[in-house]
Amino acid sequence: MTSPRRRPPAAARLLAALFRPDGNAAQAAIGDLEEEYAERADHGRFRAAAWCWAEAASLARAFAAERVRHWRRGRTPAGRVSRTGDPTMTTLWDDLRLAFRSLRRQPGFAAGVVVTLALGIGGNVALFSVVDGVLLKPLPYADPDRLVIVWENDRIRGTDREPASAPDYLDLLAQSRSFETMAARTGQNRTLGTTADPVHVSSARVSATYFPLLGVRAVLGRTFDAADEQPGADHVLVLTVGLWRDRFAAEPTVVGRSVMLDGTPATVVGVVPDRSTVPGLREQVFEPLVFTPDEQERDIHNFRVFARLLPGATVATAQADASAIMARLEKAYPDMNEGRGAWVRPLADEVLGGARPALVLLFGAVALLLLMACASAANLVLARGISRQRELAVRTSLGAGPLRVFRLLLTESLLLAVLGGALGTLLAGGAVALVRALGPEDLARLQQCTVDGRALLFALLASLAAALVFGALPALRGARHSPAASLKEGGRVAGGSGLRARRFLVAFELAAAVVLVAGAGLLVRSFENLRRVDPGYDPKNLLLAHLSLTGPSYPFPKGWPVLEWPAYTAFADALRERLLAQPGILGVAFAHQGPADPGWVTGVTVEGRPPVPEGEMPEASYRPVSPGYFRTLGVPIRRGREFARFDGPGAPLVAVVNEAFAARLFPGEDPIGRRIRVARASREIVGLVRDERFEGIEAGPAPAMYLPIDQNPQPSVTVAIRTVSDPLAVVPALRAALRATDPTRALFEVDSAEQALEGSLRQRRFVLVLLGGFAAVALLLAAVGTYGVVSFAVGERTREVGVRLALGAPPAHVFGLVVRQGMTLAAVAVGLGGLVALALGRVMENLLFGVGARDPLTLATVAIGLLLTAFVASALPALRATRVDPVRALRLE
Amino acid sequence: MAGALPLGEFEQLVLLAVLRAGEGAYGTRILQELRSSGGRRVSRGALYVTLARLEEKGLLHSRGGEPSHARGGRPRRYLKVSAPGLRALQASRATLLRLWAGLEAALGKAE
Repeated sequence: MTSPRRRPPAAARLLAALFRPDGNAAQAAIGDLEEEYAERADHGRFRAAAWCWAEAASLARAFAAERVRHWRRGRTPAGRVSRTGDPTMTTLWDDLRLAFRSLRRQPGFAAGVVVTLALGIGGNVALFSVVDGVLLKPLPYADPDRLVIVWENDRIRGTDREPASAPDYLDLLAQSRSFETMAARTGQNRTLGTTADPVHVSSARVSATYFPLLGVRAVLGRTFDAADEQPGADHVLVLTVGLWRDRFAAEPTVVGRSVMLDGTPATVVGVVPDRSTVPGLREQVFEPLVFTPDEQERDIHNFRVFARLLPGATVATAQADASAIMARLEKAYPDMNEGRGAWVRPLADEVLGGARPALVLLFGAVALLLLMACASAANLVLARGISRQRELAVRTSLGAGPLRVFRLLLTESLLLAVLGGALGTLLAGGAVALVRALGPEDLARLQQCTVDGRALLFALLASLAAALVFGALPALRGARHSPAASLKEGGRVAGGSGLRARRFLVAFELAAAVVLVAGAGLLVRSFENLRRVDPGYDPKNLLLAHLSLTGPSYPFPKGWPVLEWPAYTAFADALRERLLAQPGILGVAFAHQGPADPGWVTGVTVEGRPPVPEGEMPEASYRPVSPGYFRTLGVPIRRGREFARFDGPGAPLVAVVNEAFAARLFPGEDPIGRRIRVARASREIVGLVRDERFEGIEAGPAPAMYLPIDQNPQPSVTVAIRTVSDPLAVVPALRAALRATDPTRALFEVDSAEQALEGSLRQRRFVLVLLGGFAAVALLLAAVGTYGVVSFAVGERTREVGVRLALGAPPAHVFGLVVRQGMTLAAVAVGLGGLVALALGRVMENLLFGVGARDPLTLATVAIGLLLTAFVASALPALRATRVDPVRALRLE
Repeated sequence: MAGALPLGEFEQLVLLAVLRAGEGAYGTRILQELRSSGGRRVSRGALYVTLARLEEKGLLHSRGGEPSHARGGRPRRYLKVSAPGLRALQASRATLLRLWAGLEAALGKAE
């Protein structure tokens, strides 16, 4: 430091002066501070600086409080009168008025900055609302941090997130020392109501501890108690508020009423809030959990286990505890629990974790967009600063200090940012509605997202931060300026135009645009790849609907395996006949799961081969289907035959396998005629079909075995109908046929297969549309920025261009000169942006399909696209430059 | 009493400190006076805000000094208690003394 005198840190001085009132008193206060600092600095600069900061903060605090007090009283602070005597001493309020007036003189400029910032801030507020609503807000339960879900996992098969068996749950409950309470839950489909108007509902059977565990109380009546869990107890249920409103008109008398559930009477004992349904699940009705004899088997894994940690217990200690218990169970029951462990996971991670990568990516993208908007705004402010140099010079020569100019310029930026933030917040309201409409249905809590108080606070902070980011640089430049230079040179300052700063800002915009457009490009390519995947069946003109055959009229046969169920066969035959009689229906098939439902897997052995050790048994999807299934869905049969009516109960047991199955179990062999053993029965393979992508089109084909549904009946049934034209047109016919067959059944999830397939792409489409929108805005900002800076450079060089033209330079030469300037900038920026995109690609990896995160084709396309954009943006001013009239240009002085 | 408003406690302390600092009392001196004999930690900001308020009420007079280099060109501001200021201090003192009178024994017990 070679300063001639010891002055306090400039920033501390600025802090002390920030809110100072007008008048000499406040000036003297700062003078006192400086004087005392100078004395203290002799005894140690560092301590003096610390002291100065503390004292400056004290001044700022007191001055600010004083301003607030005066403002409340509707008075201006003392000393306002002295304004005439001392023109540099104006208040914050005066600054604001001055800024407002100055912006009103240039409405185009102000509108440009406000709209630019509104785009950036609005996008951020909208995404903040979504991220906050979906990811950040705590789950609506008592002490949600202590809630966990306890999954089982299987280290032999490499699976996790498996439901627990009832005995495992009961052992965990009895032996664990980390949990305050535990609850088990299993979901099912039910038909609620009588023959007049049955409705399909999602139901869950939950242990009596479920509601206390979540800390949820009944809004009406009661929840369950231990008596409800006794075998033979009266059948009771509670309704969620949503269902109570929709189906029972919110009548309080519903408690105690008897309703029909799958054809049996059950008593409503209470109404519980909708949040009783854990986000991501769907139940509208809860029933007490009474374990059926089947469910008491240790290898029937049916239950999600929720638990509340004891105060002081952590997920890690609970994990160790649960693992130890599972290890003991593995030893005690090696045939059923081999390889089984536990996975204790915070409930919040479980229900919200899936959305995190996409939302974090989008939030990062929109934050980058805000930075770009700030760069654009700074660019505009800088450009305007040049035309204001004279005004600022006059102010300075009239006695406004650098601090004062800095404050005035920053106030203007602040005003612009707040206006931009306000407009952006309005835009955000619409954007959130759009996001809700576009968003995937399974994105938990998305539909509750709004621009709330937290979002408004965020908007305010984002606006202030934006004002600092885009306002600081121009304000510093303005404050640094020497008045003499500006006045002397007739308002044209050589080298002081800030062109270098503006070039830097545009380079940043171009580089950021490369990153955003490259990200969007990779998502577009993934999406295209996915749409090109053949699902293995023909989704066009195909209707899918679901129903369940439960309740006393469809008693499911006891024992295992169930090889026949006359009630099902009678129902399915009757429904099929009625449907085939309808016009517009080409074919009808039934299946346990639809073609896009992974269903479940089970172990399989090939007869005649040496037995494989337990745990290495191959597994395949277990898919009961009716005769005509493959024809109806359009799944090509490669060899053998499909199921026929004669493959019914009592007939020889048969199976059809898919190509993935054949490749896995019969590599290089013909599977037809071979026998496999599955679900405790031996079956002959009679057909080989093409792979359906039932695990989702993003997953590869998986081995599957199809069994005749009449030999493997299931209570939940998918109806597939091949139609002549629009599949949704036959829905009324389907409902009529069902009513005629069994009026107590209700359909659910009725949709065309095409829609269902599109639905599986919704999350991708959502991310794609948002990121694509950000990329488009980014591209626009970058193009406008480039255009602005090149035009400005041309304006500055008008004279030079005129001279060149006068000396006989061909216009093409001038054109090249200008364009080269823009393109050099763009090339450097695009190169840097490309490097950043390469480095950031990793964060997108799990959102991509069939394309690498560093896909050279995408990056090259994006780079070329941006260079073209920059070329067009520079070519326009360049063309203008070639038309410069040399005479006029030279006269310009 | 001079003026309808009695003095606040801090205002009294500030006026007394200005008197104690004597001729040539300015911000730093007054602050030192308060911090040494006032026996409490006084915030710089509160002092300047109060000085401005007292001046506005007419209880303090001020005059500017010479601008100096060490002060960034900002002149010192010397303060003096005005006649109304002196009257206000006297009134406050009288009020306090009346209230204190006869309470020595009661307060002594509490010690």
